[in-house]
Amino acid sequence: MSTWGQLNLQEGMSTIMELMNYFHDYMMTFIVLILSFVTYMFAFVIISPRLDKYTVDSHILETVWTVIPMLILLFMAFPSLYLLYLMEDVSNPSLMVKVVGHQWYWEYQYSNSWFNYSFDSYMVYEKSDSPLYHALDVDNRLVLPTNANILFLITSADVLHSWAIPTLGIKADAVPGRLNYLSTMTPYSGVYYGQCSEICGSNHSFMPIVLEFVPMSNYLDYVSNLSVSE
Amino acid sequence: MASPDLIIKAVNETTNNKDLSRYDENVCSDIQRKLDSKLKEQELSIPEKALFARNNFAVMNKWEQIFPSGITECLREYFRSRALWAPKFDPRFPNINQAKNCFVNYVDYHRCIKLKGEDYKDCDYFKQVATSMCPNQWLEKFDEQIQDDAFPVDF
Repeated sequence: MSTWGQLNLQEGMSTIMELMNYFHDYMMTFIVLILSFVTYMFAFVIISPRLDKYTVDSHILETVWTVIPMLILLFMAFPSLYLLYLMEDVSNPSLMVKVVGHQWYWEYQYSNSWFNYSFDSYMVYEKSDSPLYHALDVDNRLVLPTNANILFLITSADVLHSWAIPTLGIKADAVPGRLNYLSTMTPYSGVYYGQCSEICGSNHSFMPIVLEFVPMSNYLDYVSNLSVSE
Repeated sequence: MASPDLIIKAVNETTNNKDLSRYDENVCSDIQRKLDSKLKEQELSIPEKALFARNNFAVMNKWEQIFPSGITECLREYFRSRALWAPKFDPRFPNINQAKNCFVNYVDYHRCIKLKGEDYKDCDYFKQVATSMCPNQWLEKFDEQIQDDAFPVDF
């Protein structure tokens, strides 16, 4: 989750998000270098008395300042396209979870071959001295297994919503009539937070998402108990 | 389904006194193929196969007492990957919107049971895919439309 004074992206908990963080850092190097160089040249041209006012053309200079940006762009393009196609790579999922957006809560439906369970996830309204995170914790978390490809199928029952988990690098619009898919896999157990990312009415800021990743054996026990308790 | 006998038989038929204290990819893939073929002979449905794997995964400590460590690692991997079932990627629907995928499988299930009868086992595949993919609200709406004779597809 985001914390006070956070300027950077959240730590990547899925492979794709880790790669996106590396890509972001890599691109930021180029951006800062280019910005510094351009700012320096700009200042030099304005301030320096030693500027040659009588240069009218230079073929060598024009060639150099075409080829170098071309090389920079090539170095930027290859990792960008590689990551873009890797994000769209299809994998056979282990588990499908349906996510239905409502005003103003999320409904999760697990329908596997041997268990079928659905529940609503409302934000918890707590007093300020509560140990729960403000506007982020929910009453029923979505429990999922680690080291398993999970496919989320996202739709809405009323207006547009958007289901996003920044730390896993996933986001998809919940559109009524559409069933958008998102795929993720994380090897790390933990609790990951997200918030509705498409304006959907008065309580748009108060319908958070909480995922709880646990090892597969714990997840199978949890799901078996759900089926028993129904 | 006598799962302990099935697993012990599959392992014995494959291993033939090899060194089993370490995980061996080739031995493991042979065991998994043998288990798959034995399960296929039993003609279990999709939920039954997943439950078989889930129940065996839950008692891995029992298998650890019987089999050497190389085999238990292999069995753990096998049961873990099969305890949950989800439909594979369908190349007819490569795009982000899977609404058509849900609808087509629902329609195919009803077409299958109309053609082959409700007891035909293979129709269950379409039902499993439709139940996994379609939100419950959509399934309820489709069922209501069929009851009211208002479903847009004629089976």
